[in-house]
Amino acid sequence: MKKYKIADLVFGLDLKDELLHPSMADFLYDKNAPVTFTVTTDTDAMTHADAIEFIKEHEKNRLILSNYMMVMKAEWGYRFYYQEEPRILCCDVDTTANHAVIHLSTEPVTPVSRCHGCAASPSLSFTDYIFYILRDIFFTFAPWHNMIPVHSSTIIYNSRAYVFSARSGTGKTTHTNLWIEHFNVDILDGDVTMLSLEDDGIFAYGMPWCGTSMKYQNKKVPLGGIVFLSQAKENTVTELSAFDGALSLMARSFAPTWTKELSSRNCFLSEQVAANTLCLHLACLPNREAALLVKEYIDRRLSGV
Amino acid sequence: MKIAENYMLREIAGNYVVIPVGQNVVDYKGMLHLNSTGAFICKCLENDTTREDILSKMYVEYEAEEADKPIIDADLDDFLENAKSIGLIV
Repeated sequence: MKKYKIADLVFGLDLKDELLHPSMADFLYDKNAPVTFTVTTDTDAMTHADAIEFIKEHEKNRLILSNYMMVMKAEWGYRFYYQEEPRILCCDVDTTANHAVIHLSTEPVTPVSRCHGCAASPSLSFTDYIFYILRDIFFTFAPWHNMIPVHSSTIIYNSRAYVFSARSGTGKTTHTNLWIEHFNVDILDGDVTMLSLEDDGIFAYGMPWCGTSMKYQNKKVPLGGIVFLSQAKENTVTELSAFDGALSLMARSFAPTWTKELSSRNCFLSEQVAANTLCLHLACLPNREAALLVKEYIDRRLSGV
Repeated sequence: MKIAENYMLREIAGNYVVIPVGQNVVDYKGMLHLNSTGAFICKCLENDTTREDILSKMYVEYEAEEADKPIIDADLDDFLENAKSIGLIV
């Protein structure tokens, strides 16, 4: 079993090389640290009919059904279903044993949706699906290790990470590209940044699950601030209170909120991060002046003004 | 009546919010920021209760004179009506 280290979590992964997304190679870990959880695949324990039967028998245990996945509660943890890839029967995440099994089918199956109402995702390859299941497993364990994944594009400025977060389509990438173009900064991650509360501060980590940006670094950087973006007809920057920062962060977090326990965890981590971090709201146009406005605000804060 | 299973009351940085849980996160995509009266009512609703129980607690909490009671009654009814309309209470 190979070891990987993403953010500050070491985990074991037993997966055939041909099923492994190329980005994972950047996170291989060869040191002698204990693993937090393990992930294996299985082709024998379950049939397609078994997977369907479980859904029927445990309908009341369904936690969420989105256009991407369905999550069922089980005694030992959670079962994930991915509707549009029939070769993936389900994924069992045993949160008591810290182990996940991706059940794969060897049967010829008809590619029909197993969760009614789910949209097709024809652009994802089988390897992509496995890669995103690994992400879902990782995000399930991460909050219990004081980590919160945030939908964001993150730059490194003055050796600190500045996380630009917003809902899809707002212009995160457009804005961070302005920083790259005009202020010569480096990018840490183009789509999801892991924020980690550690004994000596809060840190940002680049993640391999970088969406369409294809940009990430396997790097740990002290967190400088979080900027929540919205589109506007003029550029304004406002410093957020710990409360507004926490709410904004919760809304952009990818941490699971399937149960009250998980939602509470997301609240707790968001509150802790926001209370100890510069949180800004930038209403902006997609221009250099918007990036300059935030940069000057950060510079003033760094100089103690 | 009480707060529905797919909502949860939380205190964040000294403020009370109602946040959605589970499927409600997918469907609702929002949070409710409560003022102090809303927070007081929601704390009452964390356990199964009645309109009359909540009212009697509010009278005590706000040291209500007789003249205040109709205003408090109306405030509570407004809150409960809005809460029911979004499925916050069952």
